[in-house]
Amino acid sequence: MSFLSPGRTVRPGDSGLQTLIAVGTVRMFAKNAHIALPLMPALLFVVFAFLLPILWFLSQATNGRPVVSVIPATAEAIAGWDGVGLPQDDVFEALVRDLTQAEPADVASLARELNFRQAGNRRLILQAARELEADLGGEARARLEAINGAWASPEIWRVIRQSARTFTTYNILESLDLEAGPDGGVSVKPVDDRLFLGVYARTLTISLTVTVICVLLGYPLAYAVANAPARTAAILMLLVLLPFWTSLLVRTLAWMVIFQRQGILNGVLIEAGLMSEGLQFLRTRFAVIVSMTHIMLPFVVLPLISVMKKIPPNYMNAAESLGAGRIRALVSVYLPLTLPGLSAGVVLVMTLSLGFYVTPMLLGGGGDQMISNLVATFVNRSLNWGLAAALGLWLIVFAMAFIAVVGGTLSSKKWAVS
Amino acid sequence: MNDGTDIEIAQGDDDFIRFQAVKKSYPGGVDVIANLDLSVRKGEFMTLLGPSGSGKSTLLMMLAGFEKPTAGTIVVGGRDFTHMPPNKRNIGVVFQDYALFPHMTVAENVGYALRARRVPRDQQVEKVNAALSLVRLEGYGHRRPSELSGGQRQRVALARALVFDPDLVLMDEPLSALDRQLRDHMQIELKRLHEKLGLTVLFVTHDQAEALTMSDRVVVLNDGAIEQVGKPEDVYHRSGSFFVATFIGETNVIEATLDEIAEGKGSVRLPNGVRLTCQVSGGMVPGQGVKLLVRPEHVCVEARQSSTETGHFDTLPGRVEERIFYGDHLRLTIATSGGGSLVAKIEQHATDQKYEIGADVGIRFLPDYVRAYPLEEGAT
Repeated sequence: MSFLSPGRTVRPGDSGLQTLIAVGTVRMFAKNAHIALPLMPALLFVVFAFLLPILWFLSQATNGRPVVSVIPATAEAIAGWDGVGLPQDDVFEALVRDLTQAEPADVASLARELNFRQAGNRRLILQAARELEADLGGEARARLEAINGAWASPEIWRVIRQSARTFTTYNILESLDLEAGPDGGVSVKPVDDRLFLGVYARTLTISLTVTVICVLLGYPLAYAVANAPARTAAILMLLVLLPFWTSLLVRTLAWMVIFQRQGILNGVLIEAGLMSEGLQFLRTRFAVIVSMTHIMLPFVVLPLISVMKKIPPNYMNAAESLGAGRIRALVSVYLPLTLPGLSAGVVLVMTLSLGFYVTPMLLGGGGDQMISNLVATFVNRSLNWGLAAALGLWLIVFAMAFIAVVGGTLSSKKWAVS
Repeated sequence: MNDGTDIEIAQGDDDFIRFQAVKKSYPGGVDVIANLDLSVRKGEFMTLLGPSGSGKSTLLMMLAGFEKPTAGTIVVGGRDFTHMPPNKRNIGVVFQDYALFPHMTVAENVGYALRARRVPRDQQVEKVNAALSLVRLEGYGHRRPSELSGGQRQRVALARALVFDPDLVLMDEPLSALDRQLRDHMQIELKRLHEKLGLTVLFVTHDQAEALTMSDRVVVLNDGAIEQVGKPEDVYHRSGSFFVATFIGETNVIEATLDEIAEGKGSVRLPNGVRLTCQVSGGMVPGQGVKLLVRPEHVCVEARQSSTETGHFDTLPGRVEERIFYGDHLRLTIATSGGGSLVAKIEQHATDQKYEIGADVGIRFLPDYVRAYPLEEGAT
């Protein structure tokens, strides 16, 4: 080899190349130290307080160690089973051995993990562990089947096979209402078993509705602020920014006061003679959307104002002098020039709306809960971190896809109004 | 009400555009334009010249329809323009910053007016190409304005304003953003287009040289009122007011007293006793103080042997203080015995007098080129 290429060859992985990269990095850092050093505290904070915890949390979606660490021998043995019929004897033997050797606390955690997959598994595991300890001999398969007939059917073994992997896709599939068949093929669950697809659709619908309303309300508002005389613009700006200075929780609670059965809105409606008795506003989709729109409006207005302020009035004058009516001039000249600001606002409102939690919880009914509410339930109530992480992961994927599509089509335009 | 049909004014080509008693004032502010009358002929290149704040741009914006006059009427080609929306006026406007739409290509920018007028597609392409070749930008149609140089953008703006055969083209300081060489080039280019297409052009500038070189007629504006309307030669050589004379070109100002007026000529006395003959305007009476205005190129300089030698009674003694050689001419700053100083611009040939600094000289003026204006007028 060396006589074919007399010069020094550098391949990836060569210690030479690695040294080169290392030296290069150090040099780059040294050269830009005046930028890199002041950046360090914030960078470290973001990495340790934000990035790493989130990555750790998301990694729980595919983490099978809580199962594998309790039944290591079974995990190894069951990997060789093809999922058809019942597993071989060695799998039964391994499970019996694992269950008798495991600590009671670990068995309980295993029982909980497997119960997430299928209700009833907790009882099955705990019962097996308890009775295996009392009874001391015999063939493994017969012993388990004697304890509970369920061990003679393939379901529980499929669950164990799917769960007893260090890297499991179970939560990822489950969170999209998908299931892996015995042969490993992925299919959508029957309609009655679907839990999450509807909630995703609802989350997207609510977020899109809020985004559209925000644009419809925010665009003319931003136009007014950007083109108003200085004093009027300052007052309007104050009104736009006011919600920013109040906490989200306080604003949501204020909406609760307004929307109550005996609340302000019903009071006004009854007083005006429009109704004889109060309407149900609280725990409706209407309340959720009104409140979210109120909270999100500044996010679409502010980027629009900054873009609109930079558009010289001459553009509209030019369009009109060339024969375009006011509407045509607005649509063909003004609107395209505001697209960068509009896309920034839309992306902000959409991505923030996707993650809403407090507002749907306090103002919405059971049918208005969004993905974040489910994530919270899984984390706080059932301690199913894996599924919660998987749901969160998809939420991030949706948000990123939206940013890519909207940001890619709208904001990458080459023009800039200077 | 003012749809143009109820205006029955016989209009010839001499008043294609007519401003009648036009007034523009902003709430709480002073009048930007005060009671202005102006007529522009068809096919004329008319320049509105004035310092910033003189109202020249406001006048243009009112003609384009971006501003509404507070009072008065604007009539163009027999149609009342006073309250007509800008998109109905059929006027091409070239803006100071060009206002090219950054999200459209050059061809889309130029074709905008045709799309707004629903011109058939094949004609659009034809007309856009014709307009682009008119401004010598063939093949630039697919570019974006951001990819063009300042001069090219200027020409796109011009093509965009001409493509729909407007009745009238307005230009608001269109050359002010260009560097000097490009500006000179574009001035010639604009004149060429004006003559070739027989356009009526209203051109706003604060650059007096530009106004003189390009225009058929110049309107000098000051504080919202017209100071003078006339051919460039008239405005330059026979300035109607002290303001016009000092705003256009370079001028020497000498204070004097009017002694007598005879046969349209005035005889004035300088503080140091020197007597001069000058042009006077009507309404002047002997005994009043005047300002004499003389352009540097009309100052005649002759050599004197010594500072004590007295010349003719109409010769002003002086001494060269500053001397700048321009190749084709020499520019001298001369301190006069009266205490003031004058600028003289004299043609220079290799064999001519050198007029070194410190040289004693005598200054004379040709009576036709010395104009007297009342003292108080230039007081401000």
